[in-house]
Amino acid sequence: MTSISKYSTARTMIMALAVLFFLGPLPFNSANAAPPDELKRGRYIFNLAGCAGCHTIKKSSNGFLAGGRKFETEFGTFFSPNITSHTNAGIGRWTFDDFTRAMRDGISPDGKNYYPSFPYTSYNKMSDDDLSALWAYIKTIPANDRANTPHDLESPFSWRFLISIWKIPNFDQKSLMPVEGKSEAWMRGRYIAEALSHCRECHTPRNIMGGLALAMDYGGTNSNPEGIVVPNITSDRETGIGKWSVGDLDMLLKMGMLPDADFVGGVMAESVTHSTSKMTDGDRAAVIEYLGSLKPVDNYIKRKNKGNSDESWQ
Amino acid sequence: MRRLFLSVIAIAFGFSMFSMSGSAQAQDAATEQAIKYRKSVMTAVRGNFGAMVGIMKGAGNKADLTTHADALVDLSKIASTVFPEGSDFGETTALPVIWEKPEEFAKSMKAFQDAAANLATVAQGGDMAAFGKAFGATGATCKGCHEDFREKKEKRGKK
Ligand code: HEC
Ligand code: HEC
Ligand code: HEC
Repeated sequence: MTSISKYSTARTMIMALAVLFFLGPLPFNSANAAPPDELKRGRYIFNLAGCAGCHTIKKSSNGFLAGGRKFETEFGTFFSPNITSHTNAGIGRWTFDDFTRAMRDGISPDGKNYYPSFPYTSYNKMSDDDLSALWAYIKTIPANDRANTPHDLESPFSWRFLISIWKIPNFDQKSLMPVEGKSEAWMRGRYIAEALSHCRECHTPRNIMGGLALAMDYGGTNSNPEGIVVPNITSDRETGIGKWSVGDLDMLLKMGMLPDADFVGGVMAESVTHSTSKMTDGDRAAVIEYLGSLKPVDNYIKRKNKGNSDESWQ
Repeated sequence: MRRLFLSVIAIAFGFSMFSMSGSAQAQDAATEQAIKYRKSVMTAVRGNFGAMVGIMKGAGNKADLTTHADALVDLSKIASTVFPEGSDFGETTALPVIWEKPEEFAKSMKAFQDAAANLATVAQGGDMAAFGKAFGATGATCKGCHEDFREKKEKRGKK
């Protein structure tokens, strides 16, 4: 009896060890299965893409990616969702296919269209490798049970099915083909600016449909859907940044300082914090090379700081 | 004595009548001046900050870094007085959250003051590598505050 039970315990242990041997370390958190290199790369993509800023309430210490950040637009108020690994409150049940469909097609696992306030119109240009590294990283985000806040939109904007119509002219997934005569750095810069850091989502004005007015690409706007003034960053010398040096752009993307020693604020400062300041030197240089090549657009944007120079003390 | 007392009352009364009739305008004018003063102070902050960039890039005299850093310390103290309650409308890029979350704003201001004080101390030492680092840290406090509290937005009616 004792010998048998001893024997069976030993057998169980051997079997358990064998199972462990085949499975590798226990998948406490299945995401940890991704090789560390891929996680590191995923985290870099995550930073450049600026996911944290939109999916985290500013300054909340324990809500990382738990959503709830408010975006007040002319269409109504959007709230970002929880994208932590929580199985109910977050996206813990999602598969890689679900994630790919959200990022590439702007469609949720249950088949609904996402509003383009989630900039999948840029992320759909992400490479397969970057998308899978990003997913590996996102899965490691600790679960948070914060429940999603429903958007507060006025009809017809609250009708999600209308987005499919919107998508027809505004959804272009094939625009990042190589361009003849352009350097590797230029192509890398374009990829970062357009697929990851989504500079265009803010810096290109929108048409009445809320789509990007590509004839004015990167030409800025005096009022985006949130009412924010966004400068013209084309190479136009009068209304854009055509007079800026490479060093000026480097300072801006690295620390947020403008050529006149003012500092950007609001959403651009967030882009610097989350995204551009975290770029490698090579990637930042690539973005700068790409920016320098943008077709000049003549579009005057109100200056942010007028100082007192054109007003007098009365 | 009694006459003096009466005339003080009369003056005070007259003054209050005056200020009552003109109060709305007076307040608008005061807000406007407050905003202009704030922008001038911030422009002076930028002036000294930019001057240090110039010196680091080889212009002027290294010895003058201390002058600009000291000026920044003084200006950082003044900066905490240029955001009076109610100065969030008109020609301003200051966001209302400054007055909605005063503790957070104060924290941001304190970070700037501490960074400027440290920059001035490091400037005394003359070690350029250390100065560059302290300078970057000061710039991070400018960006930090502008990120949360400053944005150029079109004014829209409250919903
Ligand atoms: C500009 C702000 C913004 C940025 C940047 C952003 N998101 Fe979102 N995201 C949103 C909003 C708003 C929604 C909700 C869209 C809707 O309900 O139609 C959303 C939805 C999502 C969803 C769907 C969640 C669900 O429960 O259905 C996922 C997944 C997601 N985002 C992941 C990401 C990732 C990954 C990144 C970075 C690569 C990112 N987001 C960057 C604003 C943003
Ligand atoms: C979320 C919206 C948003 C995104 C994304 C964004 N920007 Fe900006 N950008 C702005 C706003 C708003 C300003 C004005 C900020 C200020 O001066 O306070 C700005 C300012 C700038 C300026 C300074 C221009 C000037 O004349 O002052 C440059 C250059 C710039 N952005 C480049 C970029 C690049 C490159 C990217 C992508 C890596 C990017 N931006 C992404 C909104 C955005
Ligand atoms: C604690 C918050 C805070 C800090 C720190 C701060 N600023 Fe500002 N700054 C503001 C706000 C708010 C405004 C908007 C003022 C307005 O428009 O009324 C502003 C405006 C400015 C302006 C524009 C003035 C104008 O004429 O419109 C400049 C330039 C500037 N800041 C430079 C700097 C520099 C450089 C630093 C760091 C050395 C800095 N600021 C640190 C809050 C701050």
